[in-house]
Amino acid sequence: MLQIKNLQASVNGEPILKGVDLEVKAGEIHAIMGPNGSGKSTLASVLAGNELYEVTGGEVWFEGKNLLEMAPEIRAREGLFMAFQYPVEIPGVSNINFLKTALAEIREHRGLPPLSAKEFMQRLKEKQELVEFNASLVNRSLNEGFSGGEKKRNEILQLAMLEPKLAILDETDSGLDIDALRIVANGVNKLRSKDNAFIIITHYQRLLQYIIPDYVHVLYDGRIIKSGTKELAYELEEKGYDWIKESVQASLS
Amino acid sequence: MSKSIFNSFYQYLIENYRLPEDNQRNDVTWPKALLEHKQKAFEFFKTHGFPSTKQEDWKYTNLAGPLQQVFHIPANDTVADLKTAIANASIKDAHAYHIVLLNGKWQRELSDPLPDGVHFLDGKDALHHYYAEEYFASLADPTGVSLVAMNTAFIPAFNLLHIQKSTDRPLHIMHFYAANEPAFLPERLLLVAEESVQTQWIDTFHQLTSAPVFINYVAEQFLKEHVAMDIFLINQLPSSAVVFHHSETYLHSQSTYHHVNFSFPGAGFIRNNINARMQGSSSEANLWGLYLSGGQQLVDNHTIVDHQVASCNSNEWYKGILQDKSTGVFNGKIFVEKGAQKTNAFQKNNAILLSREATVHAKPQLEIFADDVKCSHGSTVGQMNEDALFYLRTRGLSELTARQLLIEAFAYDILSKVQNDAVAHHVMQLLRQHLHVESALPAGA
Repeated sequence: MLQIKNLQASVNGEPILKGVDLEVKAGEIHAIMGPNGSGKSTLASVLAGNELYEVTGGEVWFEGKNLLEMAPEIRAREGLFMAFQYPVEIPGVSNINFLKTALAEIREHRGLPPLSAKEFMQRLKEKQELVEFNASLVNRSLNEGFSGGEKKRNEILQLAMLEPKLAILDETDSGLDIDALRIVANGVNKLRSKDNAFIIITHYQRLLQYIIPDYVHVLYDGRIIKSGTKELAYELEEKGYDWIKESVQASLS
Repeated sequence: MSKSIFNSFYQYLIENYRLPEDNQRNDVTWPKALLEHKQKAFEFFKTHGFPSTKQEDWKYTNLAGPLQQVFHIPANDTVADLKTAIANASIKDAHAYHIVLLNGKWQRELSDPLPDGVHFLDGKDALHHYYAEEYFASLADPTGVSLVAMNTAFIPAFNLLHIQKSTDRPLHIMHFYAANEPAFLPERLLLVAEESVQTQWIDTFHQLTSAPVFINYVAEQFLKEHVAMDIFLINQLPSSAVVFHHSETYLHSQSTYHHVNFSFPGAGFIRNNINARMQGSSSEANLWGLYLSGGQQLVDNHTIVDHQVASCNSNEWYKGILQDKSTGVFNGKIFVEKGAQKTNAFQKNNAILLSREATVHAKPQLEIFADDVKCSHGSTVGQMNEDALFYLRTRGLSELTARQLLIEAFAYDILSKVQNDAVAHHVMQLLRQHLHVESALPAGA
């Protein structure tokens, strides 16, 4: 589904990603962990198409198409979704209208007719139940006045509504209490299928107690320095990141 | 450079000034007391001419360009086919009572019959009304604005709107202007709303011809005790229009005044003076404004909120969306006079620049002479929020749709102040019609 080959990217001329390789297949969940400043969020932003990040080398293929050549909205319509670490508050843009517009554009791209108002509301209700996000969205602006937890849950609701092939969760667990964390994780678990895939970016192992990844990768200084299965996450939790940094430095010298 | 402009238009006006009593074409006699106002106003205008940019209130608003032209005083009443124009100007589902004016003159046969307790008067009916002597030129003229004096001096007559009872549906005054050659079109309104009246009033401005016109509109508005008045001002004039619009509102105690001011790309030059004077306690003045500008347009909104007595509230929020090479000017004066304790006065203005060649000048100006007051002001000028734009695009919205949505959201703050769905919808349609989002795309995109 996704092939990242030797991806390099910089911000304001400073290299952040220094050659990332990663392959994600349908049905898989990949966790990307790493200390602060290792490039985790940069990777998510580059994949989503944020123009503040300059891709300086490498390739990214999504379902056989060159992802890096696509505008952010085309990536979304092709089936890529990023749940933001800091979802933006947009006063004056209604949640419902926004979701309706987004869904209509994505469905059109996939050759599907738009949903009727009734079908849309029905689907919204189902998905709200699925992700246990029951806040009334009617007559509310996008994320405006939402608590940190509500914003993150609204991201998962959007994910459920838009049904992407590949979802990237950028530090979705940050700022969540344990109940909210469990609800978010339940949502993701209900949405996972053999046809879609997830990349979960996180600093801590705790989200991975609820969403069991197939693979865990450690990103450090702009490269994936170690990959493994879920046990690697437990090991990191126990020993911290210093252990792995040292082992990398030892192997270099 | 002088503080005034004495150009050929000024010379023309001075040479062609006639008091109504000497004017052959005028079929109405002015009462002596009102003639004195006109005479005084003429002398004032003769002395002061047009304001130049040397005057603080006109610093960024240069009249020298737009008034280079000599706008003639029309010799005859203009004839225009208003039927289609009325249909185009009417607001769907507003169910308003239409009051139709052409070059300031009431078109009674094309207007709707007014409900009981609402009187629209013109000609001698207005001139000889008991309120004319009491109120005419008593509110706007003392401000010492020479364009107001010009209005008082040159209007052939004025209209009087007298509201004695609340209305079940809004009033809609349609101001049409038409001229076959460059024309100076002064228009004047005196409004008196009696005690406890509640009403909504839509005030729209349209031009039917393409010759340049200089529209000088002055309204003096008196709200008696407990009045609740909403005014929705919608300026739809085209680029051939140079507009000076001055409204001066006097609030008696416990009256509420909502003024919502919209303008769109069109009139090449717009100067609005929107002033509210709270002269009775527990009154409230809310001034809201939204302008979308385009082309080489200049849109200048000067407002005064004058707290003269204690325990009054005011809120003000002006927002601008600037396209192309347009210029926006905002000046918001709040006066809290000595003794106006327990005043709440808030002011905000925000502008968003959609083009690198657009300019905005914003100046809040608070003068507070009481000590127990709550006042605040805030002013921002910015571009579109790139984070919000990116967020929307990652959900599949095209850049164009996302920009449109964000601009509409920016406008929503003011649109939401319109407590009339039909009018709010109409304004949103005008906004969409005049917004060219493509031009907002950065070069090379």
